[in-house]
Amino acid sequence: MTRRAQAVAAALSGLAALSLAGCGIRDSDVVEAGAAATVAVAPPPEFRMLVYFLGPDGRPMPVSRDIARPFPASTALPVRNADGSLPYEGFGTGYEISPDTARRAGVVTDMALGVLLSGPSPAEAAAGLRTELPRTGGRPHVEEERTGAPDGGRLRLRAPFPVTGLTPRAVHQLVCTAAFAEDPAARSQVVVTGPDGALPPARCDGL
Amino acid sequence: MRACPAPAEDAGPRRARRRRAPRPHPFGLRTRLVLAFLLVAAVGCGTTAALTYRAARNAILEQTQNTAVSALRDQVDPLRIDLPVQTGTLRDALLSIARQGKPRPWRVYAEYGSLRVSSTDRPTSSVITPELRARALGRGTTPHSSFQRVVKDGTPYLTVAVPAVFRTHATQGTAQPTGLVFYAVMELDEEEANIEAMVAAARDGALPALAVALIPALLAARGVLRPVRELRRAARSMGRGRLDTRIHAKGSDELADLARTFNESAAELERSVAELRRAEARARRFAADVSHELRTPLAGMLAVTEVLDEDAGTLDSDTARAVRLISAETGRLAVLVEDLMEISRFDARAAELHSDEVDAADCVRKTLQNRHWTDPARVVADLSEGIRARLDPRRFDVVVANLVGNALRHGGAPVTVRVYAEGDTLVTEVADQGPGIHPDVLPHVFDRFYKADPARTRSAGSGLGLAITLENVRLHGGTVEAANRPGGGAVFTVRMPR
Repeated sequence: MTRRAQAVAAALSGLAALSLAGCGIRDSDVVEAGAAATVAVAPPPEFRMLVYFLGPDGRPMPVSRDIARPFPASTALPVRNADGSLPYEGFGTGYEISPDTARRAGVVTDMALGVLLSGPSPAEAAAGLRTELPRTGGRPHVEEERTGAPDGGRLRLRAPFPVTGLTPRAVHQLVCTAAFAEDPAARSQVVVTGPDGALPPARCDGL
Repeated sequence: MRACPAPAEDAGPRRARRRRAPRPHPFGLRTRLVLAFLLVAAVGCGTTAALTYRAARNAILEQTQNTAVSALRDQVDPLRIDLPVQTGTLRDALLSIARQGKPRPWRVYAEYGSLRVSSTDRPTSSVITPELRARALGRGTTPHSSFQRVVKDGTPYLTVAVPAVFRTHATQGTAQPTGLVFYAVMELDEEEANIEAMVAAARDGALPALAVALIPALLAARGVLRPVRELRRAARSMGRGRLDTRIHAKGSDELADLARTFNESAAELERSVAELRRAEARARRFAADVSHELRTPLAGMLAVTEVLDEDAGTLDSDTARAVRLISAETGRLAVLVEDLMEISRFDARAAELHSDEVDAADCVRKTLQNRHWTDPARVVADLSEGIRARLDPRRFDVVVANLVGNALRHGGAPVTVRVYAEGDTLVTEVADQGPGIHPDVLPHVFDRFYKADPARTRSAGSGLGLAITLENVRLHGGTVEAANRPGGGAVFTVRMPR
């Protein structure tokens, strides 16, 4: 009886001592704590296009490029300058084309795809950005298929290179760049086609 | 308060020797009660302290963590960045954020692709774990802010990761990760100091609490132990024969009930014993009175029978036999009455010892001569000469005569009487050559009127001889025992102090 009581007393006092002394600040797991911070990316959405390259770890990373303005009066495809910028053809006040108009016409999309295929700039490469798309001289062209679907249309992207051998990341680069150029919410489905056939329709929603 | 025997101080040396000293109780009631109290206090203190400590620690850490995360987010939110980020502007922004650490100064880091920018001279921190990086980038999901506590080299750090997202359109765009993640690293040494202070306070508070708990523990132990001690004292006093012992029972708890029960039992016992004593005294008085009353007529009868004995020769044979029978039985009756009176004196504790310094051998010789037991064929005396002993000659004579007479009557001749000294003890041995005493009878030979053979209703003796011998020896402070010798025959051994 007394021996058992002794044992119980010892155990309890040990427990108390342990609970008092045994803990300070401990390591913890990673704990999620709320939303991310929302920063502003220059230039404003109306005057930029997003081009998706890949980070050093293969994660898609957007870069934003200025859309030169005002836009040329002609709705024909703009001819890029040697440094990649768009030529300035000012016609003066009253002749500007709003970027949305240009966007709706698919001009911006083709432009963005052109930038994508030309690869990361030296500054971007310095930050570890890269691309998995082949560098070719040709330019892809985007056509909008009017399906009447409520969640945006379907885009047909004609690439000047074979597409069936592309990595999923490369396809994602094409899809996201095209979808965001067409629509700020990137709701469109994109069908990537090449000389060797077409890929199944895809959306830009995470890789 | 008590009716107990005198305390040990005034008790005589003999009593003090008999009284056992109270044994120490290593796990007695007091120890157990005190331990139980301390245990309860310790468990209470410990549990309270542990729970308070945990809650307080969590509250402290939670507040720090939440403040740090939201402070970093608030600092990052208004930033305006280019994609890809410009190292120079990002560094400026970081230096500005680093000055606004909340709730404590922090170091801030930013990671974009393979770019590493920081507010310090080292581009990145070794405290930031790969798990935190992976969670901040939010592979496959929308990135979230997150934090992690890391203990490195004994110092606890809080690392916070806030990924930067941007809206693809002012109104209808979705939040897209920029790939840029801000990290803040903050030392938690102040929180740790606070928490350690809490632990120290809990510990320092528990010890006085235990010390305080000792006081009610000792009081409770005293409250329980005092009645118990009193009860023990009273029980011991009762055991010593003081039946008037009572306990002062106060209160209404179980111990008071026990004390009252003890008192009732003691009263009942006292009453019963007194009743018994009265009955015994009455019986003794009756025996004494009866023998005394018988003695006077017997004296007359004895005188008459002596005359009748003398005249018996002149009577016819039948009448002569009857007269002799009456004479013999009257003599036996007289002996019996004398013995009864002697026993009654012993019972009434009226027997007195008239000690004198005598020569033991002389005494025995005189006894044998007075009884005419001088025939060596019947009684052999083996007496050590010159043993001086302090004894009552009359009672010693009775002892020897009874033993020798008993041996002659029940044992077989020759009866050997030996007297010798064993140190301070005078030993008197009476041995016979008879069949010995049956082992069943042996324990009862000194009982009054004990019949070894129930069928034999009449014996030559009074049936009180050995009982009187025993009482006489006891009066001398000695012992007498009966045994069978290995060679046959019974031996009675009397040991008396010289």
